[in-house]
Amino acid sequence: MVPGLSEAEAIARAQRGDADSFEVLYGLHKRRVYSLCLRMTGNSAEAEDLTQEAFLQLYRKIATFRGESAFSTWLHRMAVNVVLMHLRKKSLNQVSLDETLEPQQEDSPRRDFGAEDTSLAGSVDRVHLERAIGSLPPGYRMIFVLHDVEGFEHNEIAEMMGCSIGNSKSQLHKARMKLRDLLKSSRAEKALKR
Amino acid sequence: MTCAEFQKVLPDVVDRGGDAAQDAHLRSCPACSELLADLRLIAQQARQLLPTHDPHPRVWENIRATLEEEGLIRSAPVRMHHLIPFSHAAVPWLATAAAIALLVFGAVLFRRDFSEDRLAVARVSSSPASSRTQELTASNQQGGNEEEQLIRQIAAEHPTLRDTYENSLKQVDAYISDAQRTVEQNPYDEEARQSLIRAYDQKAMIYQMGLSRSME
Repeated sequence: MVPGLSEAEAIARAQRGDADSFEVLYGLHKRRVYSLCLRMTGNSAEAEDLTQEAFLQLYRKIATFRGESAFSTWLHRMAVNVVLMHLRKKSLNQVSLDETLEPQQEDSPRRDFGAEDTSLAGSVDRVHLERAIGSLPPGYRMIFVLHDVEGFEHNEIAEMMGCSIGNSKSQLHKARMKLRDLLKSSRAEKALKR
Repeated sequence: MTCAEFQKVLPDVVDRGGDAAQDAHLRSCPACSELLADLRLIAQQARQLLPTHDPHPRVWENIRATLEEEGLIRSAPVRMHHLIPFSHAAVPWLATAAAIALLVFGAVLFRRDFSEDRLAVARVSSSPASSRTQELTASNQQGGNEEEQLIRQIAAEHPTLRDTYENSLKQVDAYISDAQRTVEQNPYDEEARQSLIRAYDQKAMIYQMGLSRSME
């Protein structure tokens, strides 16, 4: 009796069209792919459609997988490209990222920390951070998810998104600053409710 | 170095650290020091975010149907993700596991429409949601043995899927622990409670799929 199917075995069997092996691969990776799609789009219906499309592309191309990179990396890239293609079709581009920025955030150093204990230390948890990410403008959310959540480097993001490395770094910084504002606002609101 | 000069290079300092001049500025400027600490905390916490959302089972059904239409996979028995009625003549533990899954996880009746955006804030009064999360937590603690039996049954019937279900259950249990901790720390946070209920929702889906599989 085979105690379990390794990913490598599942890939080999899936390349021969074995249905159970496809399901094993789906089970192994569905959460990461769907979570990526959901975080990047902020919409569960879109995320489901994109997850479906990513896995369909995977299975159509699985015969071409030769193991040069990790399977998860290959699938992950595919999923990111599916999401980016979808967002491009929705006319989401770098220009819109700049349009969402409030000018005063760029012009002066931040010294407006009048309240006591303004540091975020000890007050950032998974729920609040996920909520804040969901509240980011779409362009900021995309860069932040790709870099800080999914671990892509700026050169990889620049290549995927067709922008410069400098632009990727700049957008990431703006996203983090926006998240800081959102998390502080959320904390202030909670304090008022108590 | 002024704050303006420091904040021009802040993105690089967050990810790679600062040079001597930048470190000196941080030692003398609480505002920039705090800003840097906050941005690093956000980046660090983001790296620890795990994939926590599972797609609806219909996603797999749609994938499977499309692949069969395209002839990329061979036909196999239809996978049922909806509830399967069973009789008491079935293996007793299956009845117990299914009953627990149905009674406890089925308590989330207001979450049955999966076309809704999972990130939308549910408008639930605090008392009913608090009671619900307490019930789910208590029942989840009783479900450990049934989890092991489910995995053993799946391993016996479909050995190739054992690891998949075992890993899925481990991941969702970790998600539940994390969400429980958040609720304990933030008892008045409705979204935290909704996260916990979503976590149980996911576990219920895994149970349903596993029970379907083990009955084939």
